[in-house]
Amino acid sequence: MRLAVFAVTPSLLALVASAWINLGWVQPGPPWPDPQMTLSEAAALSSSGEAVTLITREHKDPNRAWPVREGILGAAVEIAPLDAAVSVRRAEMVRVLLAHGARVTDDGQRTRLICFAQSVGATAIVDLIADDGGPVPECRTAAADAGARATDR
Amino acid sequence: MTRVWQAAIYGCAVVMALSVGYFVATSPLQINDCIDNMLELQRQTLSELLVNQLHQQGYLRPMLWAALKVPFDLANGHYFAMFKAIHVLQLVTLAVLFVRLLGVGSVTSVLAVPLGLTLLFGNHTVGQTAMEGFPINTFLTVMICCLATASLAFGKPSIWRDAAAVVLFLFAALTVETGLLVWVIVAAAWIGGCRGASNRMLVATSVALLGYFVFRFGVLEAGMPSLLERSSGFGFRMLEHGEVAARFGDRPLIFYAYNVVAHTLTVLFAEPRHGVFVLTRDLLAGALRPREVIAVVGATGATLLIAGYAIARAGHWRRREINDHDRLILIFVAVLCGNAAIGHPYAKAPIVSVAGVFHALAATVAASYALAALARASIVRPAVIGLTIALTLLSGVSTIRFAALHFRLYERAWTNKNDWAHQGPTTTRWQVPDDPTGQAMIRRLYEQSMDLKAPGIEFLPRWMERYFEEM
Repeated sequence: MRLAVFAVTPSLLALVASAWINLGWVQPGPPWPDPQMTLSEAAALSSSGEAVTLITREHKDPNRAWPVREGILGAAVEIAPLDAAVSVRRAEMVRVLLAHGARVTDDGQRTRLICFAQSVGATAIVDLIADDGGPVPECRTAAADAGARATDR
Repeated sequence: MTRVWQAAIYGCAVVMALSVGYFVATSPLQINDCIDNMLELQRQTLSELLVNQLHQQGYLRPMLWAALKVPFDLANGHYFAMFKAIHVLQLVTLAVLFVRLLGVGSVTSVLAVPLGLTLLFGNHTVGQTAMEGFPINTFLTVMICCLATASLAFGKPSIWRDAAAVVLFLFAALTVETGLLVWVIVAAAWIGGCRGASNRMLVATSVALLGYFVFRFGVLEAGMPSLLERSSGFGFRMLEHGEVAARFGDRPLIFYAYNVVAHTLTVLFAEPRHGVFVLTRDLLAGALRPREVIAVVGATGATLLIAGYAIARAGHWRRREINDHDRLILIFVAVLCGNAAIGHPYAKAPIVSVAGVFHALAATVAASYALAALARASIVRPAVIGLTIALTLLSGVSTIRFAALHFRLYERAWTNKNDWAHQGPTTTRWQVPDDPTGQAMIRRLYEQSMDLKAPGIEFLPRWMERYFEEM
């Protein structure tokens, strides 16, 4: 039994490592930090479920700008959830936000969102944003033209 | 072995199962293959469900629906709590039966238990199964029936054990087709000389098996699932069900043979996954990820350990010196063959989850044997060092795979919650506008899903995604 240490080593590794994993949930929670995200980060990351929870349970305003950390949309920014969802071209996320009180707050935002969506060929987003009955802006930028050509193809 | 040690290893099993259960319990109920079932349960009585099941083409699963309907009615509206509690209980039962079958009786066998449990929950077939809920996890039910049958076979022979084996067979076989493995276990246990697997148990379960086939194919003419029903992996990618029929409609035997081989290989080597040779494909494309290597190293390491045990014990087997651990290896081989054959219609990891459980059992038996050999060693030889390194590596890799299950369950909670957010509290998808009870149930499940925290894995360290295999 002098060399029993050889026998103990593998089991000890499994025991200690799995204990670390197991005990993680006692906190309670997983053995990694539970991330807190803003509404705009949820929108940018297509976390529709978290976005709904933030709006309906934590009463976060879906029509104001929220900080988004660096690396999600490039540099760190403050941005409205709807803008964040459109910038990552997630029509489903846009639909969820609109269903939970997000609104296009002014003509400038409306033009910006629709023209961006047009420029990347995201017609489903254009339809969702334009669905409030307001006028559809004429997007005459080079990007919009390119987007329109891409959509035509 | 003292009661303290016994309590410690069962405690270890329960804690490890509960750690998986935590992630199961904090995940919303899945929408696919679950809510439709729950609406059916709400609309129909138990007898209607059972009668309808007898008219299904390609399947014979009345017990699946009975096992869903009874807790559904008992839940009295608390469906989420009821089905999550059952899911967690299944995981705990699985872990306890797993440890019970190991027949822990020495210090080295105690030492092998933590490794065995990581092999069990780190196994991709078991992990994939643990993630599903329809809303009851029927594959977990069958895994438990199979372990319970093996446990009966290792006990003292008695009429109640024989009767219990028949009941387990009928319940499992009429739940999902892999339940037929209960008979395979009884037959292998009988061949191996397990004292609880009496002639009477074998004959009784064989009669039940015969009755199953006569009833399914003769009386009901339920037949087998067609090629058109499911997508399945083949080669380096998934084939949609239409593609499967187009490529193999006139020569289904080739497709079935592929699935049998794929199922066998995935249990032994974790490659292919769902019929797709993921590691090979990514290696050829120069896009190999550590998680794929970890999975294959873990499964292959466990298989090599079993092979090493077989080689070491071959002399004893030739002299007919067979102990209960040897019998577990025999049962594993039989279950692997039977499970791969039963899963021939399409390749999917949960189908071979029973073989995955017995693979973990066999590997734990082999690890216990190897640890005992190390403990007996009196001088440091290269073989001793090599075996220690190999076992330590297997422990490490298995633990990473075990952690991967937690990670992927955490991710699955995010996916399930997003599905509910996209669906909303309405019932449009299920077309139940005139069904107020159905609407109320869906609204309640939606609200419960939105109450849960499921932020996803985007903010977690990037290495987790690279190292934790997909289930």
